[in-house]
Amino acid sequence: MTSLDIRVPENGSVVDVEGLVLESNSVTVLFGPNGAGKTTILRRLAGIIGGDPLLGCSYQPQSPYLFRGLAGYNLGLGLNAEEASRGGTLAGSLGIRDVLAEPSHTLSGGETKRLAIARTLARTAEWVLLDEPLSAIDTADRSTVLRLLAEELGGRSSVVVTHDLDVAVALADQIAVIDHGRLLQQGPVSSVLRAPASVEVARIFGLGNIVEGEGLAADGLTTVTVGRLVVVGTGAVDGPARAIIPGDSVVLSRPDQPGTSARNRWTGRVVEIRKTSSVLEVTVDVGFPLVSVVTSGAADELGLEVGAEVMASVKATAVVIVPA
Amino acid sequence: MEFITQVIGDAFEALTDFGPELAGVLGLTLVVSLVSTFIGVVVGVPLGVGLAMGRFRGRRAITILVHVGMGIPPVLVGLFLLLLFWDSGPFGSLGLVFTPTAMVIAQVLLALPIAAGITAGAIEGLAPSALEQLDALKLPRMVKGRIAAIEARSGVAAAVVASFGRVVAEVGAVLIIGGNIAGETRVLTTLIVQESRQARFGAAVAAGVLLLLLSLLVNLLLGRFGQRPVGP
Repeated sequence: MTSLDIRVPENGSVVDVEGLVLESNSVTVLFGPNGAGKTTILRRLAGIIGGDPLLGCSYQPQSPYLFRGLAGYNLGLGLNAEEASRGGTLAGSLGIRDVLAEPSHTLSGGETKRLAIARTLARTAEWVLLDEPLSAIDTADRSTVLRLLAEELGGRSSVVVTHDLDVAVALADQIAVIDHGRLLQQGPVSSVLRAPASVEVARIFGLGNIVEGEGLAADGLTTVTVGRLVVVGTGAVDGPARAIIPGDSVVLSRPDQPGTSARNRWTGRVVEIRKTSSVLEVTVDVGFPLVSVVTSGAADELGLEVGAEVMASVKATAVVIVPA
Repeated sequence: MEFITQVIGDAFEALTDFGPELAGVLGLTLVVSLVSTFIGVVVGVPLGVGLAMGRFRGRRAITILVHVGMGIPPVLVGLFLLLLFWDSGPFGSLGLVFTPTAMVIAQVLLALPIAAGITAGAIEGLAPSALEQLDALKLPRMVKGRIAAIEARSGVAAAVVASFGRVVAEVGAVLIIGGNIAGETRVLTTLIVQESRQARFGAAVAAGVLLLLLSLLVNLLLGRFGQRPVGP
């Protein structure tokens, strides 16, 4: 276990993180919104900025760059023979074996990203540092890549930067919540999600909507039964489960509207409308209080007011299910 | 108008009478320019890569020196070397004054900063993501520099072309340190100076035409090299 203090000036402000705990043989996710300072922390750890590396690591920046030559040449850059052969295997698992004989400039953004992931994982280094490993990856390949990352990183000392809650939940053993260059909370992922230390942290998680119930996993999704209602989301939890429903993923419509593709649909009455700087936070009682973030234009169109009956719908992919 | 026609006629005649003397001047020009460009590039390009990517003491000072060198007047380089190599100067015993070797040394000093400066600019102009990726890959320093130079290869090719352009066109340094001795240190540029001073404009223009052709030929060859796809 390492505890690090990181202080790096950045664009006039300062990233100042005290006591960031990184546990060996476990995955720590640096989580926070865009511009929180996560990348700066990772770059400092890798020694790209601010002096010598703080960790002996294999590091991949968010935007991988392929150099002139074949894709396969790029895959082998900086790898020894043993690492290169592991890189080849990983490239196969990531579905890019066929493009290795192609010139690097013909690869798509997603292929480039997968090549960089394969190379970074193949390297024998004490730590693996990945910056937004799922960005630029197609929706179709996302679950494959995420599963492989979870398998490969599991038990390996690693630090992953992401602003996606589903990526964080899928990969993290430990989570460190970062915003405005500060460490807000850190700990095992389940306990941080269960008990955000502050409103700030809860907001960063897009919480506001956490419901507990009994989970039943099937086909990569989990159905959580909450009283007479069910919530469907991503994750695999059998038994006590907690569904996290980001407020900005909850779509409101008139109750008489025809059905949508969303797996989660509930009707209820508006119990509160709160105006924030740019949007409205509308609380609907659907059996549990559900907060939806809508623009004021949309609210006018729907004729939203306290007491109005509305239908709330959420795609299952936007809901994250974690063990309670 | 008659004067110009006369000069062109004389120049044409000088070119058709192309004899061993002019061939010697052309040959020496080619050898001195190519050798000095080669040395300047072989030292200057890696220096430029190092200045762009390295973190070492004295980097700023060397960068300033390179930038000054890129614009230094050739006559000053010639004068400086003449003082060093003069019989009673510090390196007088080497007997280099008025020799092709001294001309090469002078032109290396002119080509090197150009090669280094333009290469450094080309490397610094690479995408930030390319430079960060190179850092992240933790490659040996030489490999890292080589990959960066290949990535910036059109800039590096420009550095080579500009270095050659600087040495083939300059007259001040080779005139002072070479002395423009017929059959020994006379090159096309010094020949042009010589002939125009004696109002033999036809011969001067003929030498000018050869210089242009030489420059064009070498640039075409270097241009081809620069455009060739590099890598496995």
